[in-house]
Amino acid sequence: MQVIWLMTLLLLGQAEAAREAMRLGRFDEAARLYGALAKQYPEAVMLRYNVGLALYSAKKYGPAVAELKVFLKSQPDSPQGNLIAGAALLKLKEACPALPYLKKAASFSSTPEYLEQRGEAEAACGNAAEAERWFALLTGKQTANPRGWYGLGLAQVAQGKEAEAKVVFERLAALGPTPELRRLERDIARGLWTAGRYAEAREALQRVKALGLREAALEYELGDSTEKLDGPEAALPFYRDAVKLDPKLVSAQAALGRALVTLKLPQEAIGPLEIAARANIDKSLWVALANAYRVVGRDADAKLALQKGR
Amino acid sequence: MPWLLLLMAIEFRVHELPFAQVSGEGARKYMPGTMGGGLAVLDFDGDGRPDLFFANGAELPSLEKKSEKQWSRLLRNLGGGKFEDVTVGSGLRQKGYAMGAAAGDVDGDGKVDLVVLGVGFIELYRNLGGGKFGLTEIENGGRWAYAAKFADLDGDGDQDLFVVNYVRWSAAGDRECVVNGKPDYCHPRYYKPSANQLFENVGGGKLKDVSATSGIGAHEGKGMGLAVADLTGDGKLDVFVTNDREWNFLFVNQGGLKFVEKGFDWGVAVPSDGKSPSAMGVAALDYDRDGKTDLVYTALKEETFPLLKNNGKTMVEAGIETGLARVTRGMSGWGVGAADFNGDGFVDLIVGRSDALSPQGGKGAAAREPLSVIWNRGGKRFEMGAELKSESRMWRWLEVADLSGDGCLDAVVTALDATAVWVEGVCK
Repeated sequence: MQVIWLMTLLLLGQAEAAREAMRLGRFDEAARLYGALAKQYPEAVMLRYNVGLALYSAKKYGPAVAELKVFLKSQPDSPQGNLIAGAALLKLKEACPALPYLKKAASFSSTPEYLEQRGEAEAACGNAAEAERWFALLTGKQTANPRGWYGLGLAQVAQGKEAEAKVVFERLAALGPTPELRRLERDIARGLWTAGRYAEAREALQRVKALGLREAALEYELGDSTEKLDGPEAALPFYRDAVKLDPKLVSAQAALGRALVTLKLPQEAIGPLEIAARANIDKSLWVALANAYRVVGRDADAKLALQKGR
Repeated sequence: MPWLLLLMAIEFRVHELPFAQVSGEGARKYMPGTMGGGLAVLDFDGDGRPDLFFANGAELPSLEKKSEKQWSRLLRNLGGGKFEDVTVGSGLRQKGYAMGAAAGDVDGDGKVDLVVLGVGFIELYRNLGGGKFGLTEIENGGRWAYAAKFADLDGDGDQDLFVVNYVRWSAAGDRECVVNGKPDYCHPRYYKPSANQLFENVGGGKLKDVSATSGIGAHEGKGMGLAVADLTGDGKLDVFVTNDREWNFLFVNQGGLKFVEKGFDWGVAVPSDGKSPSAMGVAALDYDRDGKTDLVYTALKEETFPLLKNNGKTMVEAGIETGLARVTRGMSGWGVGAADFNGDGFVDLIVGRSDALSPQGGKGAAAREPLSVIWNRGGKRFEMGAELKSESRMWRWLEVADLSGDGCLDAVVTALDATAVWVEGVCK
């Protein structure tokens, strides 16, 4: 009797410590404590939920999903469990697997967090009309929520409702220079660049840059758009900036090398071309490298590079 | 006519000709539909006025001509801007999808003969005189013959024939492609390359296939154009072949109808950045008048038209320093003619422009472009000319000739599913 009493006391103590760790934001510790309890008391399935919640809070989304799945086996309709599992999957960029969980957590649909997560999951899973519906609910509830306007506008664009999206994006812009506005501008700029609309892309990319974004990929896209419009000489400063910001951005190294060799600067082109060619993204880079070697008189290197390029 | 004697022509007038190409394009975009529009300029009746032959398309994918609109046409130049259609009774067979043509005197009788090229055939028409031609079929193994030139490649005084073949294509193997959500023509990478052919003139109007022994047949490409000129400076004619998104070939003439492919060594296989453009029409020219033959070829938008300056040992890109890259960056070009149109002693360029994609496809009407003249300013700089104004069409191939006989050079240009035009250089 005394042993049982002592064990109960110990359990209560551990549970209290776990709760305290959660309260203090020490989520890893909370997950460890709840985990230990769950091992001791496997029949107490709510402990697995607590472990999942603590792991989610500690941003350990994969392990959180694993714990919550165990919990949901015994309580498949738990709105809380489904909500956290869905949210964790969303964080793991597994939007489509997240959707069934979020749908089972629809009782939370009065909360802005749920509306945003549902909208994001629907959008990422390609359900533009559904995404529009949930983001519209969110912006109806929170008119100053930039993520809501951003998501709503993108969902409308995906459905070809460009006029409606324009109005939505104006609402977003009216909120001031939010991260979402910058993200939107970046998305638009990249979309234009990908679509080969280089004049518009260059303008949009410059706008994003003016908002303060320093990103190697942005410089590369600016360079590429500029090269398509005005030739390699005008693109060089952008390519140089791109590789300075991220020397591992192979596309920028390739573009810089190609531009330099075209501009008859083979010696300078060799470095970036060697980096790009060795990344094996495009055999023609070996040919560009062979050309550069040949011009500077490195005939043996040129021959080897050419073999790799053919 | 020597260029020094030409008058200055700084205005162009565009006249419609009585020929309209039929591409056979339908909802499904079969590859031959975007490739046609070849032509030849030949004075077949010996009256001193250049006449015209236009190769025409057919039904796709059957490659059969089912209506008179699909006939290839022979137009006799009557002078004064008048052309008579003399196709009927000429002996020209109307069969298959014709792509290109070349003119030369095969049998050495002083009358210009004609070769017609198409998807799966080569036809040699010997000029019998009196507007009549006699047909001899040339075996080509069912290849898609695309462009050709007659030239005395072995220096024996008669005209040999070099035929450029495009990809290996069959209706069954045709790919369906989508561009911006619309059916459109496919990138050439979906089709296998094909070897070119060389035919030796063995006399008596006979051509013998020497592709294997000459070394030409050992190289497979996706040929679209050719230039025949002494590029290496050894007195023998070499052959440069443009390949569509593949390395170009430079067949260096070793004598005795033997050739060695030296495109990379001569710097003409691929631009220095390593990316093969959609190399199409080509012209040999001495743009800087240094006595060595240079090359220029057309390509698609953003690729620029490479200008290759011959320095005697290799050829180097000169597009950036001459401004040609800047001028042509926004152009898609097919046929290119190099001639001194304004009589300043420097060779200018005239270009038949348009995209390879269909105007009904992913690029829409933007696939159509106008004709352009590009002036050569003193062999140092190229600049866009404003003097040539034309509609935007799917312009394809062109030839330069003095059709009006006024001493000023003109051009004949074809367009897909539209009438061909005579671009008259107006003397001033």
